[in-house]
Amino acid sequence: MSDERVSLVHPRRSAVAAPVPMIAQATLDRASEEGLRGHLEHDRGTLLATAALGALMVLGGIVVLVNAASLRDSPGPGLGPAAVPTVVGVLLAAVGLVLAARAGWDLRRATKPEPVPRERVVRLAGMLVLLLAFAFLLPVLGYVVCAAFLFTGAALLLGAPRPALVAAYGWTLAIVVFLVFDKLIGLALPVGPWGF
Amino acid sequence: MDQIGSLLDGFGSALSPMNLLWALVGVTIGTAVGVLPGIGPALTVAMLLPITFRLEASSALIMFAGIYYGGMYGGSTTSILLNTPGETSSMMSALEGNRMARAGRGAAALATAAIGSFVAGTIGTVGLTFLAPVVADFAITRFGPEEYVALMAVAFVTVSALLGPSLLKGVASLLIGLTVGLVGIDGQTGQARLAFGVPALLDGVEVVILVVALFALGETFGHLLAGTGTSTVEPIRGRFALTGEDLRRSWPAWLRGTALGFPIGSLPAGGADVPTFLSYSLERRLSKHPEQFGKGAIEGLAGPEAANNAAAAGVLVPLLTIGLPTSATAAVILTAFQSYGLQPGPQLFSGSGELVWALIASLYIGNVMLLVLNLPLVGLWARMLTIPAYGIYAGVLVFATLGTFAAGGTVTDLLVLYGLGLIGLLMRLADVPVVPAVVAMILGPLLEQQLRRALAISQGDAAVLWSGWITKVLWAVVLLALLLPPLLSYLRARRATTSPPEPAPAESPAPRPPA
Repeated sequence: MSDERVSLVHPRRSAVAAPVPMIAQATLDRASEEGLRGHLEHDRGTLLATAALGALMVLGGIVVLVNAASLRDSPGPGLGPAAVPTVVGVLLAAVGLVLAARAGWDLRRATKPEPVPRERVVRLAGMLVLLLAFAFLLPVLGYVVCAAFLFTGAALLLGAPRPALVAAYGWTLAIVVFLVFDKLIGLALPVGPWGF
Repeated sequence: MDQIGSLLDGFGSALSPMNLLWALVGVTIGTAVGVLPGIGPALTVAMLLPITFRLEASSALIMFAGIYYGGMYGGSTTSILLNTPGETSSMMSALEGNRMARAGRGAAALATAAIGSFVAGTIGTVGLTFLAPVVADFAITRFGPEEYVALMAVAFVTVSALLGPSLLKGVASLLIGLTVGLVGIDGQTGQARLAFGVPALLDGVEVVILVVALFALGETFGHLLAGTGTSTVEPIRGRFALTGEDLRRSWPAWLRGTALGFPIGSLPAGGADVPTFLSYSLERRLSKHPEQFGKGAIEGLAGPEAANNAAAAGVLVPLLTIGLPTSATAAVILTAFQSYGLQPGPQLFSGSGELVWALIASLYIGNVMLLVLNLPLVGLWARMLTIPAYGIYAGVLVFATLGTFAAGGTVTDLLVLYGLGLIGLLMRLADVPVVPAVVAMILGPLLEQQLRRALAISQGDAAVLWSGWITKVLWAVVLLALLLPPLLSYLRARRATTSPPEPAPAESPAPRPPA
């Protein structure tokens, strides 16, 4: 076992700032960890995400600048309301541009392309639909029903077996949260036509 | 000694039966939530914020102190038994701790972590007790707007330079946070910025929403894309006690870790995680058993764990005395203060001294409670690790939306949460650290306020920003923090070319925390 002599982190390197990949694998086993190898510097997925983030920042920078231009200046010496947004907007766009450009450059010699299975993307989209439904139905159907469906739906999307059991957990959690936060602590949660 | 008298008064308030109960509830819930894999102290505190909704300020802060320390403690249990630290600062604990657990020494690992946390937390709190009033006094006499501006520049640069894989990505995160912080009505002219006519945005975005979005939603979305697996918890074997040999090797490491953790943590600069890395490499260098490192060397766990907890106490120094949060958790605690109309800063000690000292006293109490609670209950916490990932994240979503609703109260707030959650996912995928965004969102508006104040006083003369020796020193630190990392990596690269490349990790990959 070569493993016995190998350290995980080189002390000298770790002393200043350890490179920290950002995806947490809270409960991933080793097989899934292997599947996640993707999230290291210079792999394709990271570079694509960096490029997308950079592009989004450029867009955000433009929005910030346009918004800043519409602000009226304050009288007297000192900084007006547009000064800081202007600096932030310019930097946002500039850093976004550099990130996107560097990622685009590195993409040409990126390591193995590793497509995310379509099924997972569908699950992510499903989660977004579920969350949006939660937001818009909350004032109509009340907290308990919505939270129960949110828990059940999210757990199933994350791959939970036995839907009936998960639904039971969801309802229990929703009712307990409602009782504790609405009745005991006094946080007024929205209620549906049935009073909870 | 002024501090001792005030502290005794604080104990008088914190030791009332109701406040003891709140502290107990705080440490228990904090540990229980902090133990859940993937949930660090920042998210724990943010999600549990609504619990304190109806409490009076002192009880709420006492409970918060418990949640903070409990969350820290819970996190190290997870790192040791599951090798999945919830935040960067428990990465180092996971290294040796998980190896010890795999070798069947989990009980000793948890014990040295628990006692080390207690020792470091207590010494750190003592440090806080004596250092905080001094810093507050200094700040009150010496700090004008221009000093604050320079200080926040230090915090900005260090937070983005020390976290994450590259300075550029740290800065990107910083700018995203600054942009979110711009949203809302400009205090000086009453004009809405980046609100786009949406009424719910006029008050700005709540910090809790950003924290929950980046940590909870980003994490959940990431799990969906990654596909979840099954958890493998190392069973705890043997007695939950340290042998004489363990203790002999642990205690110097605890003290060294504390000596690194508290001073670095209490600097008004980012990077409370740095002392854990320093402590690990120090222990490795000093150890009489360097060959055990990577295989479960107890000092390699005891040192970083102590450093982590001492730094957690240290972070409260700049937070309470200058109102400067340097970690995501501190940012959330700051908003908790603000929700009670309290503004952390030099005036806090003179204006609301009673409250602050009750909080500090409850930190001592919380530490004792955690030790007493955790030595017998560790089996229970370990059982919580068997909750499958889908259960944890579905529950996190329920509490995340609840917390958002409590903070804002409208559907728009939930939509903002989702949007920021998607940005959080993108940041995760792009390897961009999220902590700078949280810190920048808090500090950005403060920086703007102080900058405007400084320039208004000087009649628009920018030279005031580097007048005085304090500002000069602080700007020098900013330059150093910007120039040092590239220089170090250049030197490291030169050294690497002269020595053989290190072998790649073989058996178990290094732990990968979220942020």
